[in-house]
Amino acid sequence: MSSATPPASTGRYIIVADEDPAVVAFIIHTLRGDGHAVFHAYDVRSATELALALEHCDLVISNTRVIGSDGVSLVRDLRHKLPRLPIMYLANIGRSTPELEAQLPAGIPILREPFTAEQLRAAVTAVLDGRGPPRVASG
Amino acid sequence: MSRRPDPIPPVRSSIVPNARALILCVERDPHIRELEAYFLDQAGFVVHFVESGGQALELARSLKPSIVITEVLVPGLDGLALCRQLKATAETRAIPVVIFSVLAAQDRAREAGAEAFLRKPLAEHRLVQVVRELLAPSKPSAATGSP
Repeated sequence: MSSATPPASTGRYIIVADEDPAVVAFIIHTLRGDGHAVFHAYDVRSATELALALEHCDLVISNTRVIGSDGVSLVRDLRHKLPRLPIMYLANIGRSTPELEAQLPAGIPILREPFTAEQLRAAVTAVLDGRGPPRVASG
Repeated sequence: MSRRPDPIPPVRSSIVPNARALILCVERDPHIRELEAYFLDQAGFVVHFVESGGQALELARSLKPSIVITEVLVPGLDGLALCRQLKATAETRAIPVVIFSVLAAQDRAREAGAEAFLRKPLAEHRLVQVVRELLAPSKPSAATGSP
């Protein structure tokens, strides 16, 4: 193995669970542009299976709108299956309610729609700060 | 399953050693396929997916991929049998095979003639490292990557 080869990319492993293709595209574009490996799921099962398929996942971002879930249920399920996995909740402007958010596990950060790319970056960075070193695809 | 195709193409690396080498992946799990496709594409490889060992054998003969990466648990011809058949045929014997499986099949992979074994879940650095090692001029034998 040559150690002279620079890494293909650096960043973190992030999964986005959201049923709205436009929001998914915006998040993926923003975060991949920052060097993160970002994968998406439109439904609960895919989000969970993607998180389990990766040896290491740095963050799952779950919207209120996820096929097969209200988003909060997905957050709770992931917290149960992967207790150490950081999760961020995107509060949909039309569907997220205080009653629903009250069911989130303690400590889950919330980003409210609508948000800008900068607000997204700031929220993600805040969650990722304090985590381990970024991904290195090759050494 | 209600997942839809990725709306955003993967970001490509500008540094692509072994650029455009073709990797034939045999995998049924759509999530693993998505991850493999992204990581290998970003590392500069062309990836072609099939879901069965039989399809892979056929394509290996016609496409002559640089590497075959296969799960053991695929329909028809399983990954280990696929590896044995590739190694038993003169025209495909030189194609390195990576067994990438949820099973602890390292010994069986070696017995089948595979050049490397990787255990799921997927770790990007191990996957890309093994592929690059196998494509390097002096290939190591039986590289392993169990977590």
